[in-house]
Amino acid sequence: MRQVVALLGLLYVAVNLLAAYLFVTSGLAAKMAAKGMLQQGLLLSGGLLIGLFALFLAWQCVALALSRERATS
Amino acid sequence: MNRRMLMLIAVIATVAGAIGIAIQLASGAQPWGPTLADNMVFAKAIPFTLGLGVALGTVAGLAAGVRTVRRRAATGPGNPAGPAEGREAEGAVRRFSTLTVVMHWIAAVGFLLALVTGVWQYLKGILDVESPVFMPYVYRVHYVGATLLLVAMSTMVAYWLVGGVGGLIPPRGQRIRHLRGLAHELPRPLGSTLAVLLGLNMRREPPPTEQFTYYETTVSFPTWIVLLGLVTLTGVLKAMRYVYPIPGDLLWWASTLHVASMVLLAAKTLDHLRYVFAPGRWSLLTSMVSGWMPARVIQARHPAWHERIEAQQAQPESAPDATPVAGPTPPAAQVTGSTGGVA
Repeated sequence: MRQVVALLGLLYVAVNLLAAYLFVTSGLAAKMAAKGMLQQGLLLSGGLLIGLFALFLAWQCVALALSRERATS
Repeated sequence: MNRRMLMLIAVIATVAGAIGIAIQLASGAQPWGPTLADNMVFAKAIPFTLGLGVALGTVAGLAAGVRTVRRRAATGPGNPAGPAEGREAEGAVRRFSTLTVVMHWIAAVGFLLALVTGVWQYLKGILDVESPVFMPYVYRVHYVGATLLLVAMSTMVAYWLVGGVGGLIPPRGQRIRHLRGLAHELPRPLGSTLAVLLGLNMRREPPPTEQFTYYETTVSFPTWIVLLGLVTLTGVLKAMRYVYPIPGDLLWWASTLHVASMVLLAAKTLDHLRYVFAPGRWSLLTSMVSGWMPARVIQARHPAWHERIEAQQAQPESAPDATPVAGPTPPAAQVTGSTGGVA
């Protein structure tokens, strides 16, 4: 069961990393710079935040997949 | 008012509202396109959605109170938890009521639908690309998700208020204690930094963990409350803009804050999953599926909660007529679970 949950978690991580990538690349695009600091800052900081938390979750998913049932529950 | 009567009125009002909205939509008299029509349906349904949730939560809160009184009458004043349920006999303790579990998952489904479609709308706008999915469908799913979230949120808020449930956030006078508990729970560098910033005394013995961890009471739950409150309020304002004239500036801020809270909620969801996916906290995850938690885990990881349960179970034997520890009539939540731990 833990492995299934960990796999679902990793899928969710992948989707979030894709979103984070799109946020950051869009935030750095010249078109967005013209829209102002607020929009650009929101995209960049949001992308970095989501990417960072996605990596934390990925780490935890790997730990969950490798954990043993009785030792930790 | 009779609980069944209250529920009946709420259901009739909701059905009547749904029929009224459907008749208006099907009349062919409305000039709107599919996206605007969905927006209008969602906006007009909001009062009924919230009303249904409040009625459901109120009825559940009142019912939980009645069950507690009945159990207390049947088992004596010192055992408000009542006779052991099946799983209690197997060494499990109820952490969440069935309603809490059901509403958590309804909220989770609604939230994820709204989040994914919200990010889709936002990215389509900033990338300036054609959506491979018909956009009115994306908006429709967004409104469905928002409706599920509104029902779950209004139900739980009413349930907590009527049932007198607390424990999700630090009670008054215990905030420093909870922050100290948090500083001890966090990894050492983070905990020490927090202690220095807030002037916490880390030499004192760490407070034992209650039903909820200190991370949950000081970081997780308050963050959920603030962000879900913000995204709901701004979302309702945005949805109402075609029903009621909303000033442009207010609408701009509502849109910006809606997107900002969406991004923060995306990060918060990842953090929430990170926290409950930790192998050592597996039972926190399973308790949100079954509602129950193994007693051995409570003894090992929630010593203050374990102590409270033990004290309340021991009372009838040592002093059958003694009043419970927490006062003359503690709510059931104080005994088996502060999110309404009564099945």
